[in-house]
Amino acid sequence: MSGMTPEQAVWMRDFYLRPLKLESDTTFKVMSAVPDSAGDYKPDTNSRTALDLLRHIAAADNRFIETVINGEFSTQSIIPDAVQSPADVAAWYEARHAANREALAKVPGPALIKPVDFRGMFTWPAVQFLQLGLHHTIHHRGQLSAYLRAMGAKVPSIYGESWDATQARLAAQGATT
Amino acid sequence: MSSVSTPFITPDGLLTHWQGHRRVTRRVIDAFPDDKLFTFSVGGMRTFGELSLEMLTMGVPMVQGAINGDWATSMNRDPHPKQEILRMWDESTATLNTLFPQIPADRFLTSMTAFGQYTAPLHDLILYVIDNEIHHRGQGYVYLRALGIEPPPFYDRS
Repeated sequence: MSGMTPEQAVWMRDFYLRPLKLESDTTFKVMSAVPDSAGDYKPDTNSRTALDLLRHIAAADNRFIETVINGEFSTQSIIPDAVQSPADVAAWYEARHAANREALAKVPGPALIKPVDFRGMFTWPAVQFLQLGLHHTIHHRGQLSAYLRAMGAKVPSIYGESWDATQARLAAQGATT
Repeated sequence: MSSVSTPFITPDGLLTHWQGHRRVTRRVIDAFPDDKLFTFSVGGMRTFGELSLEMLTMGVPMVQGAINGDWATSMNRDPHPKQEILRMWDESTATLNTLFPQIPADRFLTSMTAFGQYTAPLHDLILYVIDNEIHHRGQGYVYLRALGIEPPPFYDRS
């Protein structure tokens, strides 16, 4: 993907604005499904706690968009230490993501193709970090979704209707017949 | 919105990207003990064997449907030995490499209804298949940790 033109970068940015919104809505739903009492849950001693995973998703998803906006990948912490309950993390995530998408839509083409170093591992045009961020979030959100039932929570619909959503729909239909 | 005539990735690049993810997923399948692939999960979720079969029955059939409109696929999620799943995975890899270049370039922007229920431009449908694989692979990472097994690094798609 080297040699990307500003015009191609703008097309790519505009293309990703829609999935960024849709996926962040889904991510917010999954985050919001974690009960505040279950932040310490983890399926294994070697796994992250649900709260650690939530904070990682919330920070990283925003960090990748901010990489494009700012033209550099920063490792500075962006989620306040005070944001510690699952509900607070979800709310912080949603507000910051919405503001970032608005800022992203205004980044001009030349800035979108600025080469950005990722931890000394590779250098990509800034806009390409949108795809990396989406996939990073989808991966970790998949992990978080696997925690939900084991912690006594319900899995919301992610890609298609979830089993829990189906049961809720059938129960609602049964209640109205 | 800019002109859609300014693609940022070629069909060949998209296939390479997808196959990179599929290599990671193959490693996740292979990391499961044979007796856990279709028996173990967390919280009553589907096993990774079932999820692997879902991926297999979305990938090649999606490309096949895009080429000739045949959206037939299997909903069979019966347990298979791990080596059989890996064989099916490798067979899918080769089939994708054969079929993908047969997709006419303009078809990626064509809206179609996959499997009788998902309507979107083909490039969105293919990205959906990839996203779905990444999502379920994330579940597999949790299962492996819960089994005491170190999952493969998800960023290494070599």
